[in-house]
Amino acid sequence: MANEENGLRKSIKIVVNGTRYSLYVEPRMLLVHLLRDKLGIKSVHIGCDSAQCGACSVIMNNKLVKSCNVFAVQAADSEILTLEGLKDNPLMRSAIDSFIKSNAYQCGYCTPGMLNLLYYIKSNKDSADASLDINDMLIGNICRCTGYINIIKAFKRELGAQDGGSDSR
Amino acid sequence: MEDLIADRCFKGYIDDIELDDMLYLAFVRSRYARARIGRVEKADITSKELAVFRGASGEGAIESNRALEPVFTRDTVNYYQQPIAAVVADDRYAAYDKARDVEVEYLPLEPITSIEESLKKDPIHKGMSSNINSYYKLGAPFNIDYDIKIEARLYNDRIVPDPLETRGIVACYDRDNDKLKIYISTQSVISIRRGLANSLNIPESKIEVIQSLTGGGFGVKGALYPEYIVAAYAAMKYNRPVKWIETREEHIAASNPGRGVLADLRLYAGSNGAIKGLEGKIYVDNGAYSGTIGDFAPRFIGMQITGAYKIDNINIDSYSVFTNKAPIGPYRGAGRPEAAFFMERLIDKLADRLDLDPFEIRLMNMPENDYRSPLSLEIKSPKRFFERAFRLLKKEINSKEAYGVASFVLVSGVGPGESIRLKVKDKKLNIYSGANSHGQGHSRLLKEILSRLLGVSRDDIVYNYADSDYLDDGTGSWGSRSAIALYTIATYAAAHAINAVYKRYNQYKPELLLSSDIDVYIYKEFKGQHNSLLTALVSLDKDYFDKPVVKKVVFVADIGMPIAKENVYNQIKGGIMQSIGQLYSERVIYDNEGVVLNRSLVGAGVQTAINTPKRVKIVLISSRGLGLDDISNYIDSFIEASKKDPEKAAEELLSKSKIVNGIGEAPLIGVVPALARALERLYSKEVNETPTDVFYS
Amino acid sequence: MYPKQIDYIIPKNIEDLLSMLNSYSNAKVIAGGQFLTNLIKSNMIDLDVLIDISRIKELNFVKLDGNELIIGANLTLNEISNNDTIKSKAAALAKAALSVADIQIRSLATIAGNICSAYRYRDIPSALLALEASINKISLNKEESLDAQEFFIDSLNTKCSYNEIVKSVSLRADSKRSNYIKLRELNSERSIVSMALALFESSNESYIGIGVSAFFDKPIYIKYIIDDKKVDAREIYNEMMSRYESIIIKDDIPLEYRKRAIKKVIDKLIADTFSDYKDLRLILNG
Repeated sequence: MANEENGLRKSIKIVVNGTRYSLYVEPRMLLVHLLRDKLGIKSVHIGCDSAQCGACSVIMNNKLVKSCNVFAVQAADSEILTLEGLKDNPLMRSAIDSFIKSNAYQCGYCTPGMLNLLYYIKSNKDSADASLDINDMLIGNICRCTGYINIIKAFKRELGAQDGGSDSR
Repeated sequence: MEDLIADRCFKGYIDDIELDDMLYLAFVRSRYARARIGRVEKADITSKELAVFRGASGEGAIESNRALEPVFTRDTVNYYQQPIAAVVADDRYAAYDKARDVEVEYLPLEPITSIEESLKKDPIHKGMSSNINSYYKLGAPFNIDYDIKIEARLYNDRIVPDPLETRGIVACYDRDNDKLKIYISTQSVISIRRGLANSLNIPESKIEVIQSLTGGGFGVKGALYPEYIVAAYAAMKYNRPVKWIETREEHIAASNPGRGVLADLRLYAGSNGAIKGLEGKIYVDNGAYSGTIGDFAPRFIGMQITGAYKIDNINIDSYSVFTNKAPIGPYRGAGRPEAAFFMERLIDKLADRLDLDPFEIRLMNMPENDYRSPLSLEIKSPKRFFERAFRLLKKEINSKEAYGVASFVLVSGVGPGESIRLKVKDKKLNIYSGANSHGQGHSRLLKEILSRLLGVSRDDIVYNYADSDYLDDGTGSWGSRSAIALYTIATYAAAHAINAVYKRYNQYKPELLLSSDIDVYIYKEFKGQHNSLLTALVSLDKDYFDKPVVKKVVFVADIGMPIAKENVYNQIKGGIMQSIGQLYSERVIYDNEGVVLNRSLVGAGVQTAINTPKRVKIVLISSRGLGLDDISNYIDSFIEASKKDPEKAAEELLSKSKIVNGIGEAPLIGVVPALARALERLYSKEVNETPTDVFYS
Repeated sequence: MYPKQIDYIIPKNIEDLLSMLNSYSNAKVIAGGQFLTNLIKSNMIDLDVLIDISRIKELNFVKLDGNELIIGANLTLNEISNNDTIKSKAAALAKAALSVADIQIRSLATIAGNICSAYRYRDIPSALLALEASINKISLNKEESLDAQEFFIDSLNTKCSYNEIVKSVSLRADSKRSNYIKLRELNSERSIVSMALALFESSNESYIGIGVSAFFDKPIYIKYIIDDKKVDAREIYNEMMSRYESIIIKDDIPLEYRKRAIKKVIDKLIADTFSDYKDLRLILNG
């Protein structure tokens, strides 16, 4: 819970990548800024201001969320996982491998969000989200460089072909 | 990406830089597209103390003093969200709080919000007689016999480049050495250094510009912007590092968008489809200030308009006009897509009028041999490439689908020159170059070349993000030029490195190179045109709800010698999606007052993964000469020759190998008109504009 | 991107929440916040206090009570699309929930948040209307249950006022089958048509309840009585137009296109839902 302290600032406890933190935050502070500015977690990127691009996607309490669209105080007592904490997880390692093999990145800015999305789907194979076409899974993640084509290839490698047709050179 | 993950988990972009005692910079921006500014209260930096101009810089910029953009205007703002003043604070939220509290007195004026208005209304700049920024008379009036006249009004609406990482800068000032150290998300450290030096009247030797890991550019990060000048100034004023990170909303309204070109054209032809002449007017929506690509875009677009065709009579009046909008920038393509759109739409209309096959009418109008158009566009025997390419495309046609084809020329902006530095340190070969990557994979390309030429393992080559302290000169990464420039200068640099090792050790071995401290800097000029030929086919179908489905895109490019094929495929695939965006959704929406109404990525029309093509087929055709693998046979003689005369050794090797051609902007040039044509056939309705709404008809 | 200062409080339970709402004049409740947070970030909303209701356990439940399915206000769209009871008893709602926005938004967005948000193109109302939902509101003085049709005043406004909150949504769990289709616009997940239907059969009558949102300037409901084992999609379309044509949403999508689109949606929804249904004759708009 966020408790009253120092005027508007609230005291919150949060676990990020396995480490516990106790912090004071203004209620207006977005989770993405807490992660980046207060905790130095830089894999979480800011690409827009209206929760469209998904570059800020993280795992919060086993859910995939856009950290720019959550107030830090709302994340009190939550467990957050970012790429820093996930990169040695076998599911994520395999996702990263597929991204490399499929050339699914160019400037890299959207990539952590994409990887977290793929990791999330792989961790929730029986969920309704996992039954979607890959193109629909990607609606919340924008990429400007790759045109999504190789990202979809990477997803197919990891998840098995799910509509969307084929790709050839 | 292995490095991106392992070393730093995608850390290294401009906003990731944290320095002690850092200040955050925020801007107070105009609420009006045009207004007189009175009092400005409660700001930290205003035009009272910073009265400089944004000099011409970046891709395509020429020195133009017609109406340079002031960093902070003294009296009149001329576009919505133009910077008026700046504030600084210890944290980013406080900075924006402070910006909100700044008081600005406005006297709104009536803005010019379209090309049509610009031509009719009073000039927006004092002392000018009209709103014409630049005018080029291209070609000459002609009087010819013709059977068919095709008239069309064609328009490409303005597009926001929208790389996923917005603009950003961290400026530091070393008071002891009186030197600025700038970290920046950029396509050209040299352009920034030069621009800052000009605008702030500081010697270039007192400015170091270091590129941060750059999250995409697409043309918008090549130039110097007012915000960068303010950041540098603030670093000096406060003697603290100053960080400015653009918000997406700022990017959409206040960075420099591309396109925004209108053409009224007439094509004259014989009844057999042979084009005889082209005339008309082209208007570039320049935005409010000169000093960007808008100054010479009218000539650049005009020069390319004949594309791969032989058209001997041209008469075009080409203008760049001022409007109360953000100044135009070189969004991926920078005039090339506009030229191709205009010509390809015209030739499709001609084909329709005469009921001719789209491939036949194009081939019929191509010159047999090398050709130089009346506007100086040079193309080399296009028929040879296109006959072969069209054969490939025709095999891909599905008669149940609606397709469009486009043939086009890529004019790579290779000039004026480029630099590279090879510096051996701690047993690694470090590369610095003025053509710095922002996602295109230059690292892969350079490692490919240098590992072959020098015999050094890729693991021992480090591609560094550009640092201007290592580069006397250079240009930048834009204009589909990087592969061409880098291949050339890397070859020269390798020759000189071999030479340096030989001079020291009387032999050449890669191990000797790596154990030395050899430091080789090369700058080469590039003159003349470097053009290549390409063609695209787009095939569409409708879904149950009559929405277009891109079934297939086939892209055939004369790539010369592909060095890193993955890079080439990546550029094409990304460009395909931007082409779909240009046709389906991307434009800047202005209301009657010139206020930009788009506030978000999707609002600006950036495509999500919904409309990806089902299938993409890319065929790279290589021209005569040796490919990269073949070159391996010549490495020994290259090394030997480098020991004696590195310049000659490099020249010889380069003359043996295939030419390297550009690719970066190619998809936007060709896929847009091919897709436009396919949409036209799918919905039986003309497509004369981008974006189009034919799917709703 | 950077909101102004706000205060933040967490009520312990519903009672606590309601008294807070009565004490603060410029407060907003936040649960998932997926719509609200964006408004706050762009400073498009004037607000002093955020009241976080996301942890109130009384708002988080799914209960099947005979032929009634009751869903707590805080259930997320993701939870709704995955809940077995909802998937089997109210398929239209499960599908509607899965169609909203994107995966990340759905992880946190709640059903109450979706139906109360002033967003013209909301999807959930169509499913609630088809399933004859009641919206259960609570304020300090009373609890009230409103028919969904009454609850949705128009495409932006509902009958949930400042000092009330939605506690839960009740809907019929006894439809023989229910289904849902969302037709997106070309370039984003924004809806052109959001349509749900539910088939109810009793000894007296068989009918299809059809809910439409994102298309008209108010979420609407049509009751189609099945006569003679026949479903005529043309009649459904004509009924919609005769009653509501004047309030078709006017935006960048042309009217003629909208009308053609909704015909296709009706056809597809009817065909997908009933083409295998025991001797039911389908006539489509074609």
